Amino acid sequence: MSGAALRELMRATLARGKPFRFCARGDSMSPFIHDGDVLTVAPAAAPRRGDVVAFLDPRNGRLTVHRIVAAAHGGFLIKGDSLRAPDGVMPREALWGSVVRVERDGRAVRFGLGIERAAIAYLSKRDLLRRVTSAFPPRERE
Amino acid sequence: MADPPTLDAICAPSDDIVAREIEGELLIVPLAAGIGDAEDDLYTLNETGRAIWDKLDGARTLAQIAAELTDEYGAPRTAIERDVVGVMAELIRRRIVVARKA
Repeated sequence: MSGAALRELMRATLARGKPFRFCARGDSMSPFIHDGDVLTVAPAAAPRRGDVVAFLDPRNGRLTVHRIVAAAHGGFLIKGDSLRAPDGVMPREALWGSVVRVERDGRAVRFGLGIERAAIAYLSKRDLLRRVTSAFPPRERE
Repeated sequence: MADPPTLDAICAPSDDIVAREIEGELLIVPLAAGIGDAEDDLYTLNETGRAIWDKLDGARTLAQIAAELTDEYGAPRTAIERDVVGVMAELIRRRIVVARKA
């Protein structure tokens, strides 16, 4: 499915108040989300630090799924977990929804979406996450 | 499994779907299960299905649609009617289309 198709179907589904399930591409959220993982995005009522959100990147018009690492004036600072630099501050209205489920090889992967997500955001914002995750691979449990 | 629709049925796209034409292709995601599942529940229509879909207006019967397609394509009417009923039966089963009696 093309990026344009994915964007339009997700936008239309979330606008109906329903969650949207699709296959993720890329490794910018590694180790918590891998290329080929199936994500479910739900409309986000109140995004918070640590939430993994889907948004339209104004720099390139691409649908992107990255993490809120801090609240900021005018919106939220967003960054990919495996990336060095943040995407920037996105206004609330640019966020389409939050990832509520990650599936890998047919099994749910919860690490990275639970209470630990605030700590992940803290480390990611300071570019400390990559050093930590390289030493301690994430646990996968149902 | 529900009986297939009859030719006097009137069919229309379900309200519980997302259908978008993107880059010339019609993509359909049912929402009846409470989620739009583009990974396991994404549909496109072939040429036959698309020709039938484009005539679903919630007003014409399947017999009327089949008659129009017979005129447009010059194929035997019985074959067209069989295709129309078959495609509609499948789309109804997948909760993409709803049917009612005329």
